[in-house]
Amino acid sequence: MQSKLIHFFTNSAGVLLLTVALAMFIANLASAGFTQPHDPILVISMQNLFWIVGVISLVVAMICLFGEGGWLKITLVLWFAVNLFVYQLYFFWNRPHVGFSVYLGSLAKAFGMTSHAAYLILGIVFLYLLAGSLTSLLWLWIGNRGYLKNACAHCGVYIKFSAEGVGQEITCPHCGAMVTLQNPDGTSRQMT
Amino acid sequence: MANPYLRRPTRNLTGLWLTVAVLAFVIGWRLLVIACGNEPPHWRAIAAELGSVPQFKQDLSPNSTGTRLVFCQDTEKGVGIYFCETDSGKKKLLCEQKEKGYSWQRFSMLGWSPDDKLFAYAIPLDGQIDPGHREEQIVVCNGLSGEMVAKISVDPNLYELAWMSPYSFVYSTDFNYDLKLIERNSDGKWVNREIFQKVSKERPENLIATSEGSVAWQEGGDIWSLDFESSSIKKIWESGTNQLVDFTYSKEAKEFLLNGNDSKGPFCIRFDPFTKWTSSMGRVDDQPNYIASVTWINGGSGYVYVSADDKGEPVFCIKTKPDSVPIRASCPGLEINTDGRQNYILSGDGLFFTCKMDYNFPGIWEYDIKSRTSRCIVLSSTSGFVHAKITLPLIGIVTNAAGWRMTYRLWQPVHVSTRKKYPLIITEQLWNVFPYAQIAVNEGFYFAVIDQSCVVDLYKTLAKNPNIDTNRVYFYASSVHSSFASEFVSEKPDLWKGAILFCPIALPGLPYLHNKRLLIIDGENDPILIGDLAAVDRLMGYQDQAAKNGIPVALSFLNGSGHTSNSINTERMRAQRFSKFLSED
Repeated sequence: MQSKLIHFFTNSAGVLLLTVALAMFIANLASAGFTQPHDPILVISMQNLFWIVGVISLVVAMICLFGEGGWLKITLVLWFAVNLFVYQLYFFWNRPHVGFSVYLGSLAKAFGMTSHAAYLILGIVFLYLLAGSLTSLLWLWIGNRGYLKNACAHCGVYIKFSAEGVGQEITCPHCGAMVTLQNPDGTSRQMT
Repeated sequence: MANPYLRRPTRNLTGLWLTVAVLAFVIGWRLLVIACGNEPPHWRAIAAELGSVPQFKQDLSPNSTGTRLVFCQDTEKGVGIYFCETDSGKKKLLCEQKEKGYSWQRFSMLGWSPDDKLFAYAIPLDGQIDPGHREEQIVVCNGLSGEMVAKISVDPNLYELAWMSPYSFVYSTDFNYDLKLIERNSDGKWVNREIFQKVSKERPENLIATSEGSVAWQEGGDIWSLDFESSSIKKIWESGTNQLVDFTYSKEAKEFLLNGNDSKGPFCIRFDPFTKWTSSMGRVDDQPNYIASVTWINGGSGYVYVSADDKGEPVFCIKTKPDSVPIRASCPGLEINTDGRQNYILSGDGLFFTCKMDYNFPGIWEYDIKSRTSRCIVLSSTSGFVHAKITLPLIGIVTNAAGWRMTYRLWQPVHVSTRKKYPLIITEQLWNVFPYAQIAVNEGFYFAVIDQSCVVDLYKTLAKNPNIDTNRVYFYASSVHSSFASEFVSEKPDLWKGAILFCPIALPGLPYLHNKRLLIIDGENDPILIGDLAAVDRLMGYQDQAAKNGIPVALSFLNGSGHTSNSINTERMRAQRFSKFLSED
């Protein structure tokens, strides 16, 4: 159940981040010829900011969709979401009366929506990523307590198993070779 | 036996499918927006088509009989000087100056020799990047074929030129006010013969040759003359309390025709510089506001000038005898010279003018004084449009609070449904409407032009039109006219949904721009400094400031362009960005 939910989250995060990355690239291409304002925090053109955020978002999305290791995926999503959260927090701290949506004009126009709608959608996406990655990380940490890891002697792929499985002989799910599950110290007795 | 504690690390094909799905979703959405949303692809094609029509630049230079003409026109990457025979209209490119790297793009037309066998123009040195627009070479060409005869290096401050004879000319310089005489010597080389330094205290204007050995020029309200034989410079006319506007000289009549203006309006004086005989010809016209280019015709027995009728429309007036009632000819597209631009020239029996109005394409036209007929000499494009539909404006009149009657032009959208409301663009710059009026009407906008004194009156008049959406009215202006536009938009923010400003030197105040749309397009090399700031820095600063106040500003810079667009490529880019802005209304 836990792994399924985490798997669902990383996949959905990958989908959302990939969507965001593509949307930013398309917005930049569609608004070619128009100069975007500088973002007030980093003082770089919104076009450049879109390229930077888009590329990072794309990398994280690819890791989420094709990478292995739930910890890495969730940590990256969390890192990305926290950065954007801090950016937004800083923006509102400095300009409480002005919305950020004015900076998203090119993104909104490229997809036929208002700047406010674009901002709302992005806000929901990043809130989901932030909340989801935090929850998943916590859950993974709690759930992983008591689990052991062995590397397959043939292909080297790590196999994760409950401590109760020590001593059992199984087929490596990756290469199909027979593997005896062991304690990290090399013994094949169940720890008491 | 399956182990329930094991988690099988599957080879994940789901990622691939999800990626494909996301790609399809995002690209599909974008395509849907393009196809059904606010950016129909054919609008871009319309803007590209209309923006690709080469426009005419600067002065026309016809020979004295009006059989040949030299003119400037946009090329794909710059501006070219063309030579054409007026009968056939066949044009030949003499030289081209690329736009990129130059801030000001113009050539100086230096006129024809008295026998029409040569003509000249000035260009910068070969390959020189010239941000300050200094022309250092005079190119002399054969008047029959257009072939280059000589290239003469001259003072970079070259200002005006007057042909003395087929073998000599004089040019004046800016800043140091010198006159320099160039002659062709016996072996065919053009050489500096004499330099007269600092001939005047002010910049000599309106330099003309009065004979093979003398020139005259205007200095404030006075006319001065220089005789090359005696090297004597003398004042030959002092306007006294009257203001001398300009003058022309007839070599046949050997008389000046002085165009003056006093509190009662324009008047003319005939003046013989040799006998000092003068004769007042009285008031030129009953039009108190404006006359220009008063020029002798028929060897000095009559004269012509450009004036304005009581609706502010330019008219071409001919007086076959000085005391006769002027014959008035209205030339569609003739522009009144209100901001230093002049799109017409009188030569021989013809009035040559470039025209961007009322016809499908910009063209060069000739109005024949004798037959009183117009004919097109060069049309900027001879092929029809594939995407764009050309509409002619409706002409109307509004009367402002002061009782002035002004003509306005109103272009209607190409397809008008009586049950729909359409946005409106208003401008006060008649000369700057092509291709933007046509782009606007092809994209479902009304487009109106009127003098700035009647903009509000026109607004009120058009507001009664049930098809015009008064919540979507834009003001369009460029360059110095942006001052009026910015002031106007700031003063009456309730009237406007936004403004479209090209190369603005003034910008609307930010407090008045909430919930407004603003498009600014300028050349990335616009050299005009305002408050020590170049256009790029000033406009980007404005956009940032606007964003900080929650106001979006659509800002675009044209690659390689200066304050004005000087190539087809630049005009097309600008047209497409204008079109994109309209499409987002």
